[in-house]
Amino acid sequence: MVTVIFIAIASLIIASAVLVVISREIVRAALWLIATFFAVGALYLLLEAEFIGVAQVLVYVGAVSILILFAIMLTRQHERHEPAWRAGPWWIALAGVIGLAAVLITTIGAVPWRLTDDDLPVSRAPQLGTALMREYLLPFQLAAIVLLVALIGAVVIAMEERRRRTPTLADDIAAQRGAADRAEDGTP
Amino acid sequence: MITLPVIDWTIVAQLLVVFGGATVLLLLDLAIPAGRKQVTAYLALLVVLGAAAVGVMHAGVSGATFGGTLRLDPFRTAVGLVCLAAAALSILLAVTFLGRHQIERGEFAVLVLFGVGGMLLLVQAADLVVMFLSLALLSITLYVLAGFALPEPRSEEAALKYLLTGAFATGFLVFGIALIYGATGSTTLATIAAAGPGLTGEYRLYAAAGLLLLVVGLGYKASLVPFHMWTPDVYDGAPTPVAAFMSVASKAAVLAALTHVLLVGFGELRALWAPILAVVAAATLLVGNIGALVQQNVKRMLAYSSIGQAGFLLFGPIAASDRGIDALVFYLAGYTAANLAAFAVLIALEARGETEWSMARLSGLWQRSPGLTLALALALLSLAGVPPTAGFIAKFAMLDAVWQAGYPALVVLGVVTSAIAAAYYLRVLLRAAGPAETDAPPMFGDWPLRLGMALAALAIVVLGLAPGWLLSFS
Amino acid sequence: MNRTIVISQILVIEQAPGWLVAALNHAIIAGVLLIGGAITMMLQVWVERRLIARMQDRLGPNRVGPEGILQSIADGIKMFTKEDIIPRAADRWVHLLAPIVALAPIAMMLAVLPWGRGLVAVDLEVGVLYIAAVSSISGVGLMMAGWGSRNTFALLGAMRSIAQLIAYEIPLIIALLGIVLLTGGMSLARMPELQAGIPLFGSSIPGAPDLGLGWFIFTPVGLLGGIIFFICALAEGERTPFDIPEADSEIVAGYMTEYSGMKFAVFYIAQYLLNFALAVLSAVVFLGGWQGPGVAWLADAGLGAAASLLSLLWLLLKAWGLFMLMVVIRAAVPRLRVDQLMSFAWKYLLPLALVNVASAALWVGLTEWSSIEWGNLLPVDGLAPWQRIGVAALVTAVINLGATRWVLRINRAPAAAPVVVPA
Repeated sequence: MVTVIFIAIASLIIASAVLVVISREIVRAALWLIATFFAVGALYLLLEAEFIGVAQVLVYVGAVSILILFAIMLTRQHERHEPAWRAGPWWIALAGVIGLAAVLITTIGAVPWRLTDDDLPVSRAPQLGTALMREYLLPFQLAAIVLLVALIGAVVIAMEERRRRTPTLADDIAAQRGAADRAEDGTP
Repeated sequence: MITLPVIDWTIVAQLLVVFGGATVLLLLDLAIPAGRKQVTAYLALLVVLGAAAVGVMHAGVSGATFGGTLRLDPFRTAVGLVCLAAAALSILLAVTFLGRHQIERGEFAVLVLFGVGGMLLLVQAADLVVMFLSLALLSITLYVLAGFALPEPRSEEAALKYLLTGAFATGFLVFGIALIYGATGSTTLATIAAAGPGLTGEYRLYAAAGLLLLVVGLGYKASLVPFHMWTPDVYDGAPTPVAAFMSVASKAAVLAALTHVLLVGFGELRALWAPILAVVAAATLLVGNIGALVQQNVKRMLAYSSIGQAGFLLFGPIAASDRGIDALVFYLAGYTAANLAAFAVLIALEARGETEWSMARLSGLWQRSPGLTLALALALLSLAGVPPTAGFIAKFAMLDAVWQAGYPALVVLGVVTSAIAAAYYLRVLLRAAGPAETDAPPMFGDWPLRLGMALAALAIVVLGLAPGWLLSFS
Repeated sequence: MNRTIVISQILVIEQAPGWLVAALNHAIIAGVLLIGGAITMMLQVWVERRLIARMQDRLGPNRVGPEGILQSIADGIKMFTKEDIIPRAADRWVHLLAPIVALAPIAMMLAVLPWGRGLVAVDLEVGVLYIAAVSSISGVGLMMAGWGSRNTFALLGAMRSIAQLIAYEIPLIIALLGIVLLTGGMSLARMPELQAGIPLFGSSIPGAPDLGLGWFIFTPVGLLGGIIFFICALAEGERTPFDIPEADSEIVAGYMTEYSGMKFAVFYIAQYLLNFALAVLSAVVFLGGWQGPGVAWLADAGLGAAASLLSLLWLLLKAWGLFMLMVVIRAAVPRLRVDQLMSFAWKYLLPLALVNVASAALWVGLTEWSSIEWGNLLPVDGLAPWQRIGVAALVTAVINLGATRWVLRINRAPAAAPVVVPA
């Protein structure tokens, strides 16, 4: 039963991943990417890693892909565009992909994986939390600082955007009003 | 209840000062009115000096904390101090520059603080995950700082180029770490080193492949050939004090990390990486110096020269000896002082809206300002390696270390490229000593800039005349 | 859960393989939830229309069935028979799948909600995170609708809705985080169980009766969190005053502009079901869920089934009450402007939610840590549990009140001068 579900999910992942690459329209490619992310989340659930599975959906489907879609729709024109982003002959890419797949498959097959038959603990979120507070305390704190700095950076750059935008009608009116006020006060 | 791991506070004290100071400053900056943001910069300077004082206080401390993922030893302390000195001088150089270019904002100093914090962490990291995160920290700050003059298209271009190529390089780094983890089951350098001899067959292959990917990722940040392409464009487009900061501090931190990865984590694979690194160093020396020879834009010339200097810096890990480590620290210190002094001269001559930094603007500098010319001469002669400057001792020590390690070809190449380098440095100096070719551009000589320049020049001379104390610290 | 297993065992032959039993179990529960959801949605539409009419001094639909209660069924039949129009320029598949992608995650939300005492379909350990993750998927459906329609209004509506969803999702999750800290877990099924007892003190006073009123809303942390959560739920559910994505007077119907017939109905169902699910979630997390006076007595008296029924009634009462509150707000408050919407999320709700998390952490420290964990700085060991809760309530109340006042003050607009439009 688990094998059947695994095969279903795995083929969904592979099919949607292939469709990401061969889709002619970039929005469709992005949508297939979302399907891929979602199916990977399902795979985690199959492995009984609830927390990771849900976090995968939250982060990749809920945040990353939405931002991708948002960026595409904001930057591209609404009209259909024939794909100009697929450059070069396709068979070179295909050969590269097959080569990489061959290398990966042989390598993965050759590795003596360290498998364990031990029963895994049922609840894993608390363990993740404990690990983050003990072994990985430094990386955890560091990641917080990285995010803070990224936030500051985003604000610095976005604020700059706002400063150089073209003035709106409201700005014009405010500026004129300010000028009029100053003229009334007699101050320069 | 979760008990926190035992933390050795003497080891993290410096980091706490930097990150705590940066966070507090970020909040304090809210209360500082626009137009007075110089106050923020001076406060940041205070934080950097405080961190440096902590570093000096703990100069002799050796130890590890956070489960051996963070280490402190004299080498790390010394490189950390070089980074802090670079940050302090860069802030001094930037204080009036930002106002002059109408990009003065409190976040600048805060970002520099976070950036230098990332560098300190990168230097002190003894774990690949910590290394990766601190590299991400310093990269993000540098991306933003490179684009700090954002309304200027060149600054925007620099930030974007740096971001895109940098993200690509980070990908290599992560793949490398994943492979190493898969092979050795650990990301801590000491554990990796311990697992090294036991690796057989494909595990050994994975570890080696991971190491090479890691070198790619770090080499990008240190602008080693062939991962140097971004350097001239980014240095050229970024605000000049940022270019100065990037060219010295991040290079120092990344080379220290590279040294740790190679010597501590993979000392056992030296037969593999040493020849590869020697080829990279040779290519870096040649491309950097020959590239600099043909530049007409002074900032681009300095960018290529910094690539050439990175080739020399790579001699340290290649030599893989105490002598090499000593030479690396000394070279970093001398290079930092000289490069910052050179950039300081550019900053003193850069008015708002300058886009092309042509060589002609330096012509006749001697007649207008002998002081600036003197600083420029000291900086460039030190970069070229002319006695009695710090650069001479640094290059000599490096060549000596590589000679001892058995790479005579690298020594020859180092001497030859130094001669090439001397040609383009002297060309600039001759321009400066010669007659003026254009209308005299305005000069700016505020006291923070002068102080920064004077300190850098002083360091060049002091290190050149009395190198002993730094050359044999370990 | 136990009862449903019995049901399916009656239905299935005794030798049925385990996976078949499990599949049937899930199918039955899913069927109950989905059919219940559809009926709820129809009732919601009727209640909304009647209530709005009441607020606007009219009658509303009152012809089909007693008091017009069958109006929704009539509307549904009308929808079924409408022509399904797809714009020629549309991306057919994306256009078709959009309503499904919008509805499916909301139906998935129903699975983890505890409907009553012992009535929960799936007790997920990471329930709160699951809700947050799943509810974010429906944004993809809206995006698909906006893009697939090839209509500027639709695209504009989709963009607005995503900007709104992203902005309000953050304070929503952070508001939930405070309660997660309080309960020490993310399981939604456990949350009502922890809200037994009497207001504020819960079950901490020995001998006090179990009134089923130890709701988190009665604690300072829960109060602030609950208010933030409910406001964010309004925005997530695109209710007025946050109905900018489909502001009909501005952009026709937003992302739904090019939809008709059944597909439109699916969007409609999705929206009402989301509103209801968010109301249930608010009730579960902040209003004690199925807890209420009487549930504990019935359970103690050995009447488990009756207790479950009463608890289900309590939950539905709370959820419907919250839904009616949403409707009343819709009738009473005008729509926000986009910039007001954004600044409200980022400048008011987010800082308050963050302060609330800090308060929650302090609450946990004051009520659960021992003196040793406080580093012997606070002699908390000598206090009885209810005394510690009292102290914690006082401290967090002061913090939350102060923070609210502060946020309101620093965001106060500067005294506006009248705008004079130059002639």
